[in-house]
Amino acid sequence: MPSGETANSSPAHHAARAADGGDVLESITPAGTLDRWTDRASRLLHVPMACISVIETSGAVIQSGVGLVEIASETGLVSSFHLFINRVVAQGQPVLLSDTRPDSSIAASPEPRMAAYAGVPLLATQGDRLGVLSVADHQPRAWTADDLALLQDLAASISAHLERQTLMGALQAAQQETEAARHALKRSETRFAKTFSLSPLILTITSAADGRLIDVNATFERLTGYTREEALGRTPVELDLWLNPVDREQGLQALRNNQSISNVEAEFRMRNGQVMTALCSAEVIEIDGQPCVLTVLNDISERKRAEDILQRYQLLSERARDIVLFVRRDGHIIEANQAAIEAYGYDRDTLLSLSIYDLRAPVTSVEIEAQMARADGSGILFETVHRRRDGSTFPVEVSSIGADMGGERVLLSILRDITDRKRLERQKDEFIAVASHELKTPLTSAKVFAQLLRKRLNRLQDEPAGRYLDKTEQQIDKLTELVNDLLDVSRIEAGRLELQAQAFSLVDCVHQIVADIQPTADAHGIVIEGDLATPVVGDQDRIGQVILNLLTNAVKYSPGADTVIVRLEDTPDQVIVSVQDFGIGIPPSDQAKIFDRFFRVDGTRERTYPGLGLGLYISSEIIRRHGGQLWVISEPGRGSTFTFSLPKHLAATPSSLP
Amino acid sequence: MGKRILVVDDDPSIAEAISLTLEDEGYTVQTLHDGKKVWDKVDLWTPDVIILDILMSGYDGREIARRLKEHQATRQIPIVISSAHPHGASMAQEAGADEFLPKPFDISRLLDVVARCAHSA
Repeated sequence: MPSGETANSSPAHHAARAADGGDVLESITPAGTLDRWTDRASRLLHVPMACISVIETSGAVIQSGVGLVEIASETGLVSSFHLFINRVVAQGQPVLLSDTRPDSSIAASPEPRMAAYAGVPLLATQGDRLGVLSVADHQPRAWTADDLALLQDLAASISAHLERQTLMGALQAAQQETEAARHALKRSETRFAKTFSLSPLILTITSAADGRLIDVNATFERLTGYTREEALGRTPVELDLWLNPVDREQGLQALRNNQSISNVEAEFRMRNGQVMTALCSAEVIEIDGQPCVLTVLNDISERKRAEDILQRYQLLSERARDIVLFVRRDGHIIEANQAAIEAYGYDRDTLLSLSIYDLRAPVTSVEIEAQMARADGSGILFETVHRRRDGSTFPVEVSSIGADMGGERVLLSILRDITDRKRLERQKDEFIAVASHELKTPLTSAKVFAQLLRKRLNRLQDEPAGRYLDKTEQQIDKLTELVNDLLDVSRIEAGRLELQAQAFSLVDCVHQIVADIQPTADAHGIVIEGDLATPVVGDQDRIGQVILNLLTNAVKYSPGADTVIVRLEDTPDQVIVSVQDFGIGIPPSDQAKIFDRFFRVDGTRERTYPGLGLGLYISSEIIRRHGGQLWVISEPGRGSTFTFSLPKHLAATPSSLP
Repeated sequence: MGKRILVVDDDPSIAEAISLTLEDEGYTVQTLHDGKKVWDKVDLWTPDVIILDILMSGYDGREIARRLKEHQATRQIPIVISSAHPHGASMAQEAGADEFLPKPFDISRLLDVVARCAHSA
């Protein structure tokens, strides 16, 4: 093999590679260097063949050779080389064979072209066998002492070279290992740094020695409000992070005992004073040989808040005295509170297997479906009757509204047992009825007797007695009015003012009342202006009561005037009736109050104009219940105009008033 | 002999006042203060018109009216219900009364109502 050829093309080298199987030897033992030695051995000893074999784990392997190329295919030559090389390795001594041909050991594989062999071991400084330097000739040759010395010199140099190479190889391998380890560490560090900085959890590293913060991540900055610069070098205590110092003490104690703590709930104070609830985990780690504490805080404030709110609502629902039901649109009950269980007498499981149709006292499903549709829309408040497990029924007021819950459309219904309220309403009704009866019965007989007396007096033609009787009757009528007003107020207060709606002619009504009242108002002329084209819908008696009230007031409070004007007006939406007098008027400060219950104008007029002050309160209530308004425009000394409006759209629903 | 009017009212004063008013106009009047006695009286006396109060202690005028209107023998007798009850008018209608007379009333109104009923009887 000519020197200068690339080592990789050498079959011997291929063999070495195959045997070693690694890249390390190749890189640290450049074949070129060994080739120079084999070349030199060949030239100095004047032999055609020379080779260096190196002992590896698999045995001696020819690393470099000269003159072996042309006979490489003749395996016998290589085999005999190996044979002698192995002998050198085994003996650890030079092997000098002047004529190899008679050697019995190679008789089996006659080697016509190798006739003499000389090999010396390559030994390390410590005596370790590194390999063998071999030379061979085609002719038998008597090896001289000079030959041997030369070989041994060469061997020493090669050994030194190999030893150096091996050492360097080991060094390099070690270096590479270190490098790999460093890379791995680097990767691990990078990973840690990335994790540290990008973690959605709060991460801090504190020195175990003094508790000062060495590092904090971005989440720490974002959640606590402290910047990195503010935090580093300070302790969590200095930052006032721990809300309860006891938590910190316990955490530290656990850390000392176990070297780590895991998911301990604690509260922390943020820079802005807000409190964060977090699960705290910590572990003692070593950084640069120093013990440090890696702390992880998982902010669960939101979850905590959500849990608190949930708990609050659960409590609210469970402890509520009202029945709370969650109902699916198909009527199925999916949630019920304790009040529901008690009210209906079913256990929870049974209740949750029922439908709202099972709880309603007999009523059509069409009606329920319509109510559910309205509840789902804008919410609904209505009264109905529900049925208990034992079949008994009770009145309920239902407030129901639709809501999205877990992606499902449900109705949230709050039901109140109104048995007591109903009883109270009945009692109020009864009271009003009894009071009405008890108060009016004596008035009834007093009035009849007064009238019977008048008939007799008329026959006796006793004028003064007739006048006294007039007074008596007037007082009975006045007392009757007061009783009626008080009863009306009771009804309004009890919410029991019932209106009977029907279409009627308001114009006729006004004319009738004016005709009735005109004879008693001898100083005033009552004038009717305007007209109404359409009938109105409402309670004729009650609206008449309002008109009468306004007219009697007008007459009463305009003693010096001689006219009262009633105006009727038709607008597209409303009918408007106003009563104008030219009397004493009402001070601006009192104008809003005169519609209040029991309000009476203060001062001297109190004595001048007696009464309970209920008329305008009742009138405004009656008009309000019809969906209209009653108001006044007045100027003291010039008179007042009371006006009420009634909406025309009531005509659409004549049978029901709110 | 004038038309026979039966006045049923647990308030003696009202019963007397009505009675006097009607007698003055030539009617024959009998009064009862106890609703339970109406049946006997109706059997024996067969009035032309009955004037009933609604709220009588122990007995409801509406119940009397309803039963009178249920019985073949008494169905044709006109009934006037007179009451100070807030819902007297509708109660009278429900009970099947022919007329309603709110208390207190003018005697002229009483006489009108009774005259109408007596005429139809």
